[in-house]
Amino acid sequence: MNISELKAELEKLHSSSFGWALSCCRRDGGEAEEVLQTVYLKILEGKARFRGESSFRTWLFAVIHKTAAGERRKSLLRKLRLLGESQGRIDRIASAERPDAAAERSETQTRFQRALEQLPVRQRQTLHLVFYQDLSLREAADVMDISVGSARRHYERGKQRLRESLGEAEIGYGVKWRGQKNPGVVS
Amino acid sequence: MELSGEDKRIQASFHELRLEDERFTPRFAAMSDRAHLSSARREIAFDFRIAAAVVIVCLAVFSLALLSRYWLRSPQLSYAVANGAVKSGVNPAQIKEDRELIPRDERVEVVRKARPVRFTTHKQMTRLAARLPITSEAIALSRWQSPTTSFLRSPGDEMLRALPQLNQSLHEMESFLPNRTN
Repeated sequence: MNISELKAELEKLHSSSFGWALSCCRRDGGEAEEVLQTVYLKILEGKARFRGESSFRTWLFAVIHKTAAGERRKSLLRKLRLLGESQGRIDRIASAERPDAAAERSETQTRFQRALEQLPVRQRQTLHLVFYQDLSLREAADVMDISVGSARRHYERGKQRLRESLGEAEIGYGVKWRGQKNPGVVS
Repeated sequence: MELSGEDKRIQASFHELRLEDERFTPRFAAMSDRAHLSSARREIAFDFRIAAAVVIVCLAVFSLALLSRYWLRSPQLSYAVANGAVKSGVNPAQIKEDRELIPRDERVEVVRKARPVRFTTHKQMTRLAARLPITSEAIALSRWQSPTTSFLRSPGDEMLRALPQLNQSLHEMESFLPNRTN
């Protein structure tokens, strides 16, 4: 695959790649952009080569996953070195979400994203690959470099936990809402 | 993959999330340009690091060359080393005074003329160091005197070593001869 073909493929998958990078970077937009930039550079400079062992999309997502993990390790080391600065970075990550996006988001979507954040990384990533990227469990396993059995387990457990937390949130929301509307009902 | 009602609900939420992300996805061209820019910046930084390393190495070599030239041109120090002063812990100034006591032929003159700067100083010094014990032994041997030499000396030594003068009187000569009456 030459450079122009690679660029065309990357451009076609750019939106999905950014979504996957966001998921790998705990929805930090800045970090996701940095990771994706590094991935593009790796691919265009030939440091990461597609050998056709899987689909291009699966390979690209695997590269993003590995690069994000590397970046996370580096940032952890940086945090260990400069504890004072790390506090600032944590604060930045917490407030990394775009305020306009948060304002426009529906209540259901907010609850869904909160529930998703509470899931363990592997479960969240498996659900993302299956539901967001429409990949099969085998492809998701290839991307995450785990066995299909493990991917299936993460998928089932993730769905279960997501359902539970969404159900709890809905109940909580309903009680709160009813409580506000008719304070006499709830003591 | 077949999805149940609950799964469809999760998928719908993910779909909504995807739409939200798409609205804030940066353009591919901009990201690609930025990637190339950061790559170029990294290359410049790398070049700068190499240049700095080369400058430091050059400075180190230059200062080493200057030091070795100074060291080779210092005859007092070289002489002191050659004659065992450094090894024996004697002050080099003292050695300079002692130098006059050593016969001219036995002196080890290390620096006879200014040499060009060379990077074989260590080798030269090793060679000199190897010669140190031999030289000091030779000096010690030339200075050696038997402890019983003083017993062989007598007041008439001068007479025994000197030849009699032709105009010396017979009486004076008889004083050296054994007494015939005895």
